[in-house]
Amino acid sequence: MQPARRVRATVAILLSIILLAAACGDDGDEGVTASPDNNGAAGQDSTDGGCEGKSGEIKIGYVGTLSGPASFLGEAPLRGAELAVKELNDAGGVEGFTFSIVSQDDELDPAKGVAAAQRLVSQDQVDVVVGAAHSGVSQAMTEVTEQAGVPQISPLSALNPLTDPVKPYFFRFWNKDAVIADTLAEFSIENFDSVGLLYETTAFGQGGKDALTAAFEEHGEQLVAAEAFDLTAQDLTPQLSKLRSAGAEGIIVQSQGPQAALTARNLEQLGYDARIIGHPGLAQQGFPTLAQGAAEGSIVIDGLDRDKEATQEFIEAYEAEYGEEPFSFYPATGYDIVHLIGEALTNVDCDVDKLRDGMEAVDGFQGVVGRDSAEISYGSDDHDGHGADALIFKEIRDGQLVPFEG
Amino acid sequence: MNDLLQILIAGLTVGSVYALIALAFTLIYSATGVLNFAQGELAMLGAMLGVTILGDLSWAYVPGLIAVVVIAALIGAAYAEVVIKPLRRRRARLDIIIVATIAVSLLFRYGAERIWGTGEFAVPAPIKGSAVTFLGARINPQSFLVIGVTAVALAAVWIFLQRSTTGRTFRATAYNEQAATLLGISPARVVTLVLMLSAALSALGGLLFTPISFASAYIGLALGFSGIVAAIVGGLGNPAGAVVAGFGVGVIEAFAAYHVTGWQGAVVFGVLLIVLFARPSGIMPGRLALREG
Repeated sequence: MQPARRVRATVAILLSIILLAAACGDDGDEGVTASPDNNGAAGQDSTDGGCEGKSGEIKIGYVGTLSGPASFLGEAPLRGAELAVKELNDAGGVEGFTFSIVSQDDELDPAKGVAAAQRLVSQDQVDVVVGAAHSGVSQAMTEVTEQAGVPQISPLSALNPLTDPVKPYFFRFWNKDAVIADTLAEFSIENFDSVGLLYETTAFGQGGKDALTAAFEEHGEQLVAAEAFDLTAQDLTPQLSKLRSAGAEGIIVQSQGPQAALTARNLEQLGYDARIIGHPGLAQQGFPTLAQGAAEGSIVIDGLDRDKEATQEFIEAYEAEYGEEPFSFYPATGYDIVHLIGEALTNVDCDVDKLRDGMEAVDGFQGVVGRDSAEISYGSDDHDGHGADALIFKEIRDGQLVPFEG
Repeated sequence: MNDLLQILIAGLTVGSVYALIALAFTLIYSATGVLNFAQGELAMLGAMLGVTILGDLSWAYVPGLIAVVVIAALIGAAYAEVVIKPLRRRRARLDIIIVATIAVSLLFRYGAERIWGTGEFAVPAPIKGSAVTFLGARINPQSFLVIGVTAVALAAVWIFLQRSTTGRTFRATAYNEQAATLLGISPARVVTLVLMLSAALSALGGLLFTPISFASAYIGLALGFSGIVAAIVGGLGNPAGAVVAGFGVGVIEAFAAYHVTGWQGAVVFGVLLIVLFARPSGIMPGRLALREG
């Protein structure tokens, strides 16, 4: 028995070594990309033939927060994306290509986001990854998409370093923090004599504080106070008392919907009539719903201009599909991204393997999000999506977002 | 504007919840030696039961509050019968039972997530009407309710422990379980009782506070953390210490948030560490403790 066992052990070890070597070899090999389907091969045969004669399916891998308290972050863009896919497929697709979506939950956890992206890229073999909303998760996922050579488009991530320096395969659809902070500062200075800041003690809150402080200084102004709170805080009376003592008439809230709602309610309880000014993260239903009326008059950045024709058509289609109007621009991000992917595909004559190049060739894309003038153009050194033209100030009236009137 | 009073009352309001949770935690420790890490989740259950009973079913506040407390007590009894007592009967080591309480806390959280979903809920405030101006501070009427009901509940527990026969058997068991058994007291009965009481107190804390903040399946962790820290700083097994420390943690948190923005968490625990260095057995004199360290 003994020698036989030794032989088996030796064989096993040898096999392991061979497998390991093979795996390491794969690492450096460009062959581990996502789309080994027939379209890619066909595309290579006829590089200059345009889209003629090609057809197939673009598989979109979607990663977003689909459970837990922040599930609206993932659900809203996914709803928009699914609507776009349905509309495009019903109309025969883009140049003969139809779309499908496989979605994965990142649970707002970068590690889960990485696992989800890995699964989509290697098991589901998707052609493009859409996600995530949260910047930390998006950042972690780029590790996978860059390695696999699959384009990744984030609907909402705003963290500056995501696109600076440019990563070959990562594109953002929405604004970056620096632009948002500048727009917020400009707006606040124009509309209020004294502005304070309330921010959460997270990377997001701290980053927002730094960006806003810098943006105010650039405009020759200062925040009258900047108060921090932990996400677990149950009561913001101390911070708001401090802001009241500093004389803040407007309070920029750098946090999430529930915390903004808590701010609104604490303001009401304190009899302190400062107005909340919110970045796009507050453009979510939970804010007015949880504030129970206290959010009335709060100012929030949205990305929808309801006077725009494309936006009206989108809202109509969305309502027909889901039985309710979209609260803010979140669903429209997913909707626009699917159309962006369609445009990228036609930019490279339907060569699915070159989707990334097609993204970089996107020039002057206009979708649902933003004003009439808002458009997205990518380039080899520019992977940022929308700019200030997509930032539209709204105020909450009767629990809905309506254009800001002052 | 009187900021000092404003912050003090805000701190006492949050501190009320910590005090109730700390007392509940220390009572279980006294009777069983178990550190119940599911304490915060019991407060969360109180808040979420409030969402259903006061919100969805729109019961009046007082019957609703009683219903929540009774249901919580029953959950506490089940917790004792299903988890704590079987483990004790099998002579499981204390650390094993403590790990079991962590398992129970996760069970409560995921269970609540299943039942109520992942969102936040606003619980209607029982006292309508706007804030009251008092010595230059604007006080939310709910704050008076939280602090008042907490005071009544704490007094009731105190009288129960000191004066009633059941309370005495409970104290006797906490002090010396074997001697109490020889005197004909059933420790098993005491365990069930103390878990019921403790679950009811925690749930009351969670329920009282939610009209000021929000209820969600995830609030238990933070509430339990502060409550448990208060129980330890108050001297484990010392009910009066737990209550004082509970209010203390709330007030320090509020003042730290006002004065040293961005560092409040670190300051609170810095202060608590200093307290523990100065008085390693907690802030209250040992003779008040129910159980020998």
